[in-house]
Amino acid sequence: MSDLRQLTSIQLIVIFISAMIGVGIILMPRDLANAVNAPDLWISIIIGAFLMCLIATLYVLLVTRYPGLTFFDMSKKIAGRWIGTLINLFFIFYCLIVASYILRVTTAIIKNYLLDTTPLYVIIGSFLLVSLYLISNGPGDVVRFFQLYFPVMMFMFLILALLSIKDVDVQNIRPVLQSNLLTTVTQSKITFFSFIGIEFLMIFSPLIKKKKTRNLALSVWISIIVTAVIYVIFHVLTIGVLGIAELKEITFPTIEMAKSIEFQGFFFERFELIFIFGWLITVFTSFTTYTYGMILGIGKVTKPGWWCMAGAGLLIFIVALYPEGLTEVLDYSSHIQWIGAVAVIGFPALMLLISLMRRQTHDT
Amino acid sequence: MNVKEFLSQKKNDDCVTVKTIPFDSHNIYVLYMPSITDMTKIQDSILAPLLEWNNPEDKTVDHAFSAEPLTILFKTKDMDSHLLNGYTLMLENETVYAVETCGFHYRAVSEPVSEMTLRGARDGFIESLEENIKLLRVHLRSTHLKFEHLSLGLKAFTHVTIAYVEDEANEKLLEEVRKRIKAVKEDYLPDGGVVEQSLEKNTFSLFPELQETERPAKVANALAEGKVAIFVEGSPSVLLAPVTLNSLFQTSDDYNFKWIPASLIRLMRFAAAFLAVMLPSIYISLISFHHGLIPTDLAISISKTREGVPIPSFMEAFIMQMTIEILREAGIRLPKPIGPAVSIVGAIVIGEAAVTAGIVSPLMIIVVAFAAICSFTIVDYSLSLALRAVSFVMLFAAAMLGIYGLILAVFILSIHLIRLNSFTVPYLEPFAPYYPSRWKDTLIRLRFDKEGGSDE
Repeated sequence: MSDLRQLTSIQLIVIFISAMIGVGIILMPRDLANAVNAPDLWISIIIGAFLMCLIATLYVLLVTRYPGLTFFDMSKKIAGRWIGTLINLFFIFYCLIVASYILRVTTAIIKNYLLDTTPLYVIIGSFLLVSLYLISNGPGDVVRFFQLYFPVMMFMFLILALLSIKDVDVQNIRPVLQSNLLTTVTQSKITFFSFIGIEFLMIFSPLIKKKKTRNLALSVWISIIVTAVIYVIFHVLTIGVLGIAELKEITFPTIEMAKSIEFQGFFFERFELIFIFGWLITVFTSFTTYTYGMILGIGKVTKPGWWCMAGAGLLIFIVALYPEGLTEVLDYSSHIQWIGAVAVIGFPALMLLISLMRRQTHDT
Repeated sequence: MNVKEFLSQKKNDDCVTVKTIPFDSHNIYVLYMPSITDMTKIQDSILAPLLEWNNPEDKTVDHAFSAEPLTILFKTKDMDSHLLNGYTLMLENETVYAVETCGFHYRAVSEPVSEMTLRGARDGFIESLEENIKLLRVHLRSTHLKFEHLSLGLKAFTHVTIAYVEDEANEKLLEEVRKRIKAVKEDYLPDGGVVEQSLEKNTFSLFPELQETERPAKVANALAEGKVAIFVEGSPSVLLAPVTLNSLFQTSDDYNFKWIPASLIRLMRFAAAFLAVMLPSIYISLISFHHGLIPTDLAISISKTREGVPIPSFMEAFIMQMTIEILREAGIRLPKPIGPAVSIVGAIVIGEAAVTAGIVSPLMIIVVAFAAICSFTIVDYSLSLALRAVSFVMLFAAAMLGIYGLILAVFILSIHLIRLNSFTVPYLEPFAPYYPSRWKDTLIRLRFDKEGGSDE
């Protein structure tokens, strides 16, 4: 096992950002464009981030009330053994669905842009195996991996953002705040799916034993704000380069935006490769987070062991292969949003409420 | 076994000379191995004082020697090992004294051939432990420099010395080094490399867990940073622990030149190591999977050069990589005058004939040869070996899944490195986990802090 016992604030921020940014950065522009239909759709992201900060505060409160316990232990302690187990099973299901969804979308993109004739199960299987290899040595390795690749990922995004500024048409971004404000606010629910990942505060909580509430909340908020800033930058760039009308039609707008970058007299002209590399890191990290959550959960509900990993891997593999095509996968996303809302907002809120009513705390 | 038995055993041993000297009322036996001792030293500093000593009140060997350090031995095992190290033993009644009269022949101190530097100290370690410690003392004159002498090997003695700077070296690290040295259960440890492997825990990893160097200045620097050095008797390579990937990329030239050019060169070295591992595999994944990602003009010229090449690009790359590895190995094994001949033959055979014969494309040769040149910039030879093996793995990954396979292979490699520890220190430190205080000497080297003097 790894030697990481106490995570610093920087490490926490790295974990959360790595867990949050995933398929959302590629799929969200189109969904938002269809829902809001205005060039200032990025305002929804800011509202979404603000709401997410409030939700994340729930987790901070829970984690500080029950230091050293994971979500799976907390639920049993708060709601009793049976209801707790039910909550845990639902959370495991949620992890399974999200992990499979991420994996399937990733494979679709890889198939579309890199390997068009390779069978789906090969791409899915290899990705899954590498992720399981990372998890197999415990959470310390996962954290170190995130740390190692975080600068690489940020560097890729920075390069891409700088390169695409040239192609931005200011007319595409305007007008700001001229659209229906109500739509902008209500449709911010779409952005919710791109901010999930922050709930893993409750999964990595044994590694954050002695943190003050204020510091913990601060690192959580910083992570959400940084993620939101990255999203906003990429949305503005995508709208600026492609325009709102085109955005609604393209499946993977961010990659197309990267593809359209051109530099005269510069030897290398396929910049989507840089983006795909940077993005594959973030997808790998968020996928690994969910798979880790699932494996931990199965271990908590039953007994920890190697077969938790094998079982989780097999389940994710099967579920990821289940949908026929990408359209079907994207259709599922609204259902996943509901499952996510229950697992990420419903349960923690309920648990905190019960805990407050029972005036229950936990000493280590 | 007592002293008398030891004496009678040695009297029958042809390799040991036993001289009997009457000394007052008893005899003193002088034992040494003539092949490995300095005869004049024995004559001048042992036999002469013994024979001339005639102080009637003070009749012990101990007082006959004023300057020579005398060791008193108790165990038969120690007596044997001292004899084998060129000591002379003196047996007086039941007491055994040992005097250093070593006459081993060593080569002179010279510049190490495998570690070149442009600037800085040119001395290199030799095969003598004593001399090596002296060389280290030249570069690190500190009272905090401590040595611990240990002996390895069950059947043949290999003397090993741990060196560290007190207060700098972590006690946990020292304890780990001691534990591992004491746990070695080999009969015979002929050289530093064997000792290195018997101390390693990551047996199945390609990456070295100890850093090997022949430069005293490098050892001195490492000790000052809190590392531990392991000297092995009879080996010019000194082992440094712990090692991190970052430390394997550092050279002493990085510190001897001004920080901006030195940092640029270090960055270039990192880039070269990356290219050495990845370039051939990136190339084959681009031409066999992702034609669309190659700029159009380049794609046309590549397809022109590949016209008529009968083998698939992966095999082409594999064959070329193998050829270069074979040439490299041949160059090392051959005697010095023939070495250049091999490279000429290699250059002509690979460079000209293979292309003319239409077996490989010229662009492939450029790619593979450039990767080989890049790999020569890797400072540490163990690391270079590891990365050469990794480059073949990357080649297979690229042949199977293209760029995607490459990215996954890089992930696997980094997960492996994340798991590695060298003497309880994470291998990728300070990148994973983060140690921001040590970032100033990683990808680049920041300037040294200085104070005093007049401002410009």
